[in-house]
Amino acid sequence: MKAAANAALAALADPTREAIVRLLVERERSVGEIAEQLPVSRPAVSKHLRLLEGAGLVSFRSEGTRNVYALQPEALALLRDELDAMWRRALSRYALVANNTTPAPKKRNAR
Amino acid sequence: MSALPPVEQRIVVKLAPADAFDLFTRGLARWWPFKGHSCSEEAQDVLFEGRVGGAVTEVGRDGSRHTWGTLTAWDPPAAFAMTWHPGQGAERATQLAIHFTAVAGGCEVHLLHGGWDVLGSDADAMRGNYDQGWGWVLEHFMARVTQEAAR
Repeated sequence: MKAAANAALAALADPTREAIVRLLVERERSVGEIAEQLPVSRPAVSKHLRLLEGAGLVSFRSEGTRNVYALQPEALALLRDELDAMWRRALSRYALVANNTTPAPKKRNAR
Repeated sequence: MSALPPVEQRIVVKLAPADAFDLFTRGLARWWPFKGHSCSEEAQDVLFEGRVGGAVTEVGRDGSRHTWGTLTAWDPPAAFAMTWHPGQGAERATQLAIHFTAVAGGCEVHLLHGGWDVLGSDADAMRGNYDQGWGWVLEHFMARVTQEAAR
């Protein structure tokens, strides 16, 4: 799971691949449709798509002579899990500090 | 496609709710993993303007200020809630709520972070809730990847 999330994040660290993912957020598209929207060649788009596919972010199906790419719904869940992990890390540090903090003098019986 | 459920976490710490609340907010810099989770090059502190509508602001060692969000509830020591958009425009805010409840031996801290698919008030720009959820999450992570790469 962790390795998969890292692969997804590494794949998205490239601006062209991020742009491709954004296009696919709207709807599925063929390689040609994606290339039309971006300032990169079609072979370059294909290369990026293969990488995104390898990272589990997109999937494709063949429609006649063209390949149509779509986002993998699991990919979003993967990214959400990363945020989940961020909070887990943060809260464990919080707990560590909290449990080693000398509590303020008890005021329970003050009045 | 369905909306993503919020991130939800609970931990119990050995502090009274008032101290737990204080450590979480005023004392955030004592425990927040700034490395990889901050806007500035080197964060120094995070200031909570303790009132509804108050800002939560990261202050860098270089004096730079970065908004993390705006408080939508401020009810010490029981709870606070805020919009969450570090490094993002407010239109991409998600929603964070933290509750502090006294339990035997301390305090339970309950965290809910949701609203992945809400764009906020910028309704015109909404193509669909789901898309906006993606946009926010992706940008958030892009920011993180960039920060981690820059370490």
